[in-house]
Amino acid sequence: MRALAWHGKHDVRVDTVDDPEIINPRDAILKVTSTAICGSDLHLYDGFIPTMMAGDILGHEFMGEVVDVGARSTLKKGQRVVVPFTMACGSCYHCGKQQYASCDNGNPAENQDIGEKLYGHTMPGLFGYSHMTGGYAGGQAEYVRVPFSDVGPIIIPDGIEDDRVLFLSDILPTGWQAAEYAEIEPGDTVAVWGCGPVGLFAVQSAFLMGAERVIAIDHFPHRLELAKGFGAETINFEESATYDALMEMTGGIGPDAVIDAVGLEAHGAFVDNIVDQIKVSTFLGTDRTHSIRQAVVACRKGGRVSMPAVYGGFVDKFPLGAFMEKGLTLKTGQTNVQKYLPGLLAAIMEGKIDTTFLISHRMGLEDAPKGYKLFHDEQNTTTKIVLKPDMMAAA
Amino acid sequence: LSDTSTHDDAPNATSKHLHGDREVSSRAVTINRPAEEVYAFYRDPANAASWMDPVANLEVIGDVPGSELTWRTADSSGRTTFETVAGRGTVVTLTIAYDQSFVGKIIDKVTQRDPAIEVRRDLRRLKQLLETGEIATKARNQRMLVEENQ
Repeated sequence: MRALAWHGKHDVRVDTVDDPEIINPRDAILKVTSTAICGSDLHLYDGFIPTMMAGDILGHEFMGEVVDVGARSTLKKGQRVVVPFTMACGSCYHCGKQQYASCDNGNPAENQDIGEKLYGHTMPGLFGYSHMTGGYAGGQAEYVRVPFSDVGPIIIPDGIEDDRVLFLSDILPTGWQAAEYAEIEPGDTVAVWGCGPVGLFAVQSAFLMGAERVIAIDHFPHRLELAKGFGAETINFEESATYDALMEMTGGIGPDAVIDAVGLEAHGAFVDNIVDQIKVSTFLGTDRTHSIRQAVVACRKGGRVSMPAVYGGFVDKFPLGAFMEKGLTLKTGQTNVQKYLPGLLAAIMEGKIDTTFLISHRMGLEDAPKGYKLFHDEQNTTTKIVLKPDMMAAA
Repeated sequence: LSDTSTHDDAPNATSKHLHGDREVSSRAVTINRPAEEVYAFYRDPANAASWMDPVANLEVIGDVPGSELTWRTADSSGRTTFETVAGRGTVVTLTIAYDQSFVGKIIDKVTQRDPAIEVRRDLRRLKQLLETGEIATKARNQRMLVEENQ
């Protein structure tokens, strides 16, 4: 089959590799019909995530048609399913508490060592996201092996096109969980840093959860326009002073909840960010973290901080004093995708959540390397790239 | 197993003081299944190949069904306990004492044959098998699975 493989920093290629097969009884094999490039794939592309190996097949946002099943899979050939990017066994302690992203059993025994050493606990199994999370082949390919297929994938009814449901795999539930973690109360003002896919879904979700106002912060005009389309007020951090603007817009109180949907590759010419970039480029630090610092400082006293943004390593100059003195609460983590799928699929079918607005480009799998470069270089209007393995490459 | 006489409640193997002339290592894992089931599976030699690194000449020297097993080999001795914890399943604690020279320790770490590493991974596979019915692997097909298991 053809598959998009990582070969190094800013080097991804479509290779011909062996087809996947059923290995374990709960496996299923999918023929991938749609797969997206995620902002967090850019962290791999930029070489920020350790334990990548040349030849690793990327892609954790995908859906497809079931073409083969193991003896204990509950799926049937021909069904269309969307697959959560987090693997969950459904039977460990964490899965029992719907903490699917903390599942103990998705990551192979040898690969669990890295997370245990780095973070104190093992990491879950993820598709196409380094060997720390299992080294599993991802879904930016013609076919993919899906472990625990009796627990994770959600079956999509006929007549609902891929583009409406593909984002159930990651970014929609991630934006939803981000808003849930903000513990929104009626009348609240919620500030969202970053109007990428997760930020934009967090904006929509925050309104659905009863936020009175949502203030979206970014520097890409097109992305801010999309947030405005959902009713958000906007701050362009290149045009306005974010903290001052937030304080005045909230009558000197500050936002009741803040959501950092930016993460470890924050943009912007702020002093602390420039220092971070120098440190990262000289291996003195790993994560550039302007957005979370600014969110903590702007959040109102006693407010909530939600951090769906991906961080991988260590940070310094985290405003721990502000965090303590203001009595803030932080909730974060990989998304417990399986927990939200039935509700979010229903919301899509009822027209309460719009997902297709996000897709700026559709291309064939063969064009995936071009897609990565485009998504990396031009983030204003490149909001989301969906790869269709059946689509012919552009001439 | 050597008694290291710590004065707190921490497990003996976590003592910062020397364990005499033997290495002592212990590890606990919680398995979301009843203790009788975990014990029975663990005790059955027919299951060993599915989750345990091969151990030569293993001799069981003590057996309290459902709660404790002790054993020895040519160069190690060990104890496994099974304890029911309400709402969480069974805590399996494996303590192993073994001979290891300073140089041997370095070689074992580099070749990933260190008994502590093997125990850690064995217990993860045991948990996966009992909780999910299978052992997680990134192998994409049978050929890669064979290569991984070599």
